[in-house]
Parts: sequence; C-alpha cells; structure tokens
Amino acid sequence: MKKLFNGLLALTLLIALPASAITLKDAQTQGLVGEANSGYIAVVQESSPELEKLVAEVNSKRKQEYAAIAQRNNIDIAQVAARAAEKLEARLSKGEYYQDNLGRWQQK
Amino acid sequence: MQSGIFKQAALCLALLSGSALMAACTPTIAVQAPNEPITVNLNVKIEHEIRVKVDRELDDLFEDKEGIF
Repeated sequence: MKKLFNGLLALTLLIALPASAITLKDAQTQGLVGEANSGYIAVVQESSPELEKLVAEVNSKRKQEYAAIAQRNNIDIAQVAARAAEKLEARLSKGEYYQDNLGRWQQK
Repeated sequence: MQSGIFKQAALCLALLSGSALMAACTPTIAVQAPNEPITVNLNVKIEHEIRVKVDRELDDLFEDKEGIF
C-alpha cells in the first residue's frame, strides 16, 4: 500500500514539475531574459533548454496577440511589435534587461 | 485769384495721378487650390488615432496577459 502511495506521489510530482517551470517574471528579475528591441523576449547571456522553452512559448503567444491588434487596426504586425517594445521597456523594473536600438543589452 | 485756380488744378492733377499710381500698384491675389494638403492632414490624423488606439490595446493586453508580459 505504501509503495503504491509513493508511486502515485512520484507520478504527481512528475506531472506537476513542468508546470512549476520558471516564469517570465522570475527569469526577468534574475536577469536571465530581457525585453528585446523587437517586442519579444530573448535570453540575455547563458541559455538553457528551460529558458529556450520559456522564450519560445512567451514569444509565440505574444506574436498571436500582436497579430490580433495589427489586424484590428489594419497595420503591420511589425509596427505593433515595435510600439510594444517601447512600452515594455518603460514598464521594466530596475535591474531588468532591455535591448537598445543597436541591439546591446542594457540594465534599467 | 488766378493762381488759386492753378493751384486747385495742380492739386487735382496730383490726386488723379496719385490714384492712378495706386491703382497700378494694387496687388493681385491669386487663390489657387493646393494640390494635396487635405490628404496629408488626414493621414497624420488617422495615424495618430491608430497610434493612440494601438497604445491603449497594448496597455490592456499587458494587464490581461501578465504571464507573457
């Protein structure tokens, strides 16, 4: 009975772990990812599979949202993303990273 | 008496030539419809409105989707 219980516990942990993967906010506060000048996020220095996954997920969701706004206003998605980049940079907390116009990482 | 008439005549002549000169100098103002300023103004206005609208939609988006912004 105890073995079964332990097995179940291990199984739940296995299923629950991916959900507790690093969040965007954590990654930003820790300086792992930053706001790129494109309106999307990017890894600042050292990459890892977990970070890559986060970046890809967040960016694809962002792209969807930008596309919806672009379509509603009949403008190019790049224009929406560029505007978002400016606004996102302004919203960052002190110490978080953003990319300047020349693509260099800057700390706010 | 005689000189008074001459003076008057001279004055009249001076006034006449003066007015003639003035008439010659009257500037002519030609009003010409400009070619495209209305379109340009309209574009600026629309672009501004879209920018404001996009900004507002982005702000809402940042609030709604905190996980990805």
